[in-house]
Amino acid sequence: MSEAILDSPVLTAKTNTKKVLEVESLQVQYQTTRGAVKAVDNVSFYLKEREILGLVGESGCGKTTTAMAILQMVQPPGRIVGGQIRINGKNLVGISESELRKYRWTELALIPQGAMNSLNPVIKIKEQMTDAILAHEPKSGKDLKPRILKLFNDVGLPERVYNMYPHELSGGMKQRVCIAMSIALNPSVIIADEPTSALDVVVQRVVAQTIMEVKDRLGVSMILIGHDMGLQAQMVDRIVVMYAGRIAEIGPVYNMFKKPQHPYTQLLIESIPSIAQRKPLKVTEGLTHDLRHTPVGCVFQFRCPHVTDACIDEAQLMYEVAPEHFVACGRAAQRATRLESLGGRYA
Amino acid sequence: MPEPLLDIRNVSKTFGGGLFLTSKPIVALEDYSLSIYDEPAKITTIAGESGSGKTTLVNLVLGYLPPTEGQVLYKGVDIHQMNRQQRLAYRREVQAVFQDPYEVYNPFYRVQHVFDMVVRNFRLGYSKQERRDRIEEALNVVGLRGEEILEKYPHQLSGGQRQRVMVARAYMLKPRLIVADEPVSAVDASLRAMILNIMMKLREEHHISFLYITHDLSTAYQISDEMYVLFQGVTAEKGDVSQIIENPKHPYVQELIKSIPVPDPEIKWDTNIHLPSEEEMRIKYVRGCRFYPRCSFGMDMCKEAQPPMFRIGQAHQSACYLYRKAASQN
Repeated sequence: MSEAILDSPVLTAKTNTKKVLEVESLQVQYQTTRGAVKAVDNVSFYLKEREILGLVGESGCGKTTTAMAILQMVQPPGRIVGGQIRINGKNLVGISESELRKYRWTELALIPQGAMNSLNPVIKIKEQMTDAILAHEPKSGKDLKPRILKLFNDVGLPERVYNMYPHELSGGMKQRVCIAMSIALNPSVIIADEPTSALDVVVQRVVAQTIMEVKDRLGVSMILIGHDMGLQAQMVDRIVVMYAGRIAEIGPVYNMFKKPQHPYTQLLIESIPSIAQRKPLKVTEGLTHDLRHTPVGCVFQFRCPHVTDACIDEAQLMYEVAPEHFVACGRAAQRATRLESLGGRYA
Repeated sequence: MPEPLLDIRNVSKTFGGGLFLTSKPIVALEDYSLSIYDEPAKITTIAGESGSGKTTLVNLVLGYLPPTEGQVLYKGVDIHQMNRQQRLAYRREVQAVFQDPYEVYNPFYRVQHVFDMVVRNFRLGYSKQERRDRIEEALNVVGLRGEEILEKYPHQLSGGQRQRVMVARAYMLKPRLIVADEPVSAVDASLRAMILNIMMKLREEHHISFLYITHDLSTAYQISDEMYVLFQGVTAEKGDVSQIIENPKHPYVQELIKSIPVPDPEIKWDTNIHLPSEEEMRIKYVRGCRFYPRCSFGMDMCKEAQPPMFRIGQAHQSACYLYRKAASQN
């Protein structure tokens, strides 16, 4: 079994581009008086250079916890209990706080959810940006203004924002300030946690396009967390679907929308309302199980319309059904290809 | 023409201005009209972005705010001039479901309490058994069972269950109209579909009309019959929902619809459209068309006065001077 994990297809898949971020068998638990909640349970995926990876799932599925674990920002009672997070080959799990500072902002940056609340309301934008840069490059001196103005230009902000307070800006402009801060130190990976969810549609579109332009120009890789499947379809290259702390399916965006394999992904896709066509909306009955008591078999067994005895009794494996397309469902894999030819691994 | 169930006539609502008009008043709604006929029951969507006046409209319809000008009529009677009996009937027949299913509960009481309050205030049912049956029936309509939830506390329910309990509470009063203010924006996709399906079921099987307030045009397209698109306190376009979504006329509505991310990787955003900068979006124009500063079709007449509604099709009107000729030919 240990070999199965090491040779897992997710980690050995032949890809031409470099993997900037690798998450391997990540486990995050929240300790409670009534047992440990497995918020992230054995999750593995990678992020390639210049790629946008979408991370989706319903609330409580572990997507934000995964992102916080990558940034080493899981707060007690939460704890990373296992696995590795490698950025450009260097493992971040378990390293000291001072060593971690070398990676924050310079290798890994965050665009937080709800920009309105992440800027300090009593400090001018220029000081907040200067602070962030000086904290990591103490020697860069006083002449940061041209550099900050260039960042503003990159994200489409007018220069006068430099001397303004956050409350003088609109929601979209505040979000742009956060984007400018995230790219200030040329990170290789940016994690964006629902970067546009609080914005109106037109503003959302303008900000989303800025994010994509910035990504192309600077050649960074991004993880885009969100539940708006429309935005995912427009922005990302590959999608990770999480359910109850595990990965249900990973695949290229086209496959995930056109040929979803996992029953949960299928329900997720069918429940999206669209302006492209009018159709009856599919309803997923049931609730996620208690994350303190993970079942032996598949985590989706309680809501799956196609559940069998094997799903309940046997540990769930992850199968590659197409290049870079993995699904944690034996039935789906069997339908997609011949099961014997697939090297399964424990999901 | 039958009498409309709800009739909003030329309502304006302004806020602020100060006692001595020291600051500029904010116009939340201006000369706004809306009629809902409920034969047959319909879902009418009010769509708009933040700041368009949606919430002000909800507060006016529910009688929480008095209009600055104009009238809100329910079955032909101004809701602020009703006698005791009419007001009680109005309070019973017009129900509300709000956005956040977490905040509407008192966390110290069990779910049963929500229904007890309704029963007490409106004196429903003559016996204990009858009351219990009515609660059970209302819960069944939204796909819940009394034994599962009535004895629980609100925090023990999921978001979808909480929102469904609110719909059941509204349903129990046999309302004619439910004002649903962003009922699904705080719940997950799978539960969203469930709540929208319940709304459609109440319309079809129980003849309850809805005033569905949302910023999400996709869900409006899926469930509603009529739509009003609000922009900075005025209606930009109104009519049959499929005509508006499939063939939008007002430049603002066109911009809005083209900005919705389509959940299909093959239908990419049209990159040829002009998108406004945030600067342009913040300009509030007081005379003339509110959309003028952002509009790529702007004409001189647009600066003079707010365009009236021009009829484009049988059930499709747009407040844009581009259609003044088409309208005169009709």
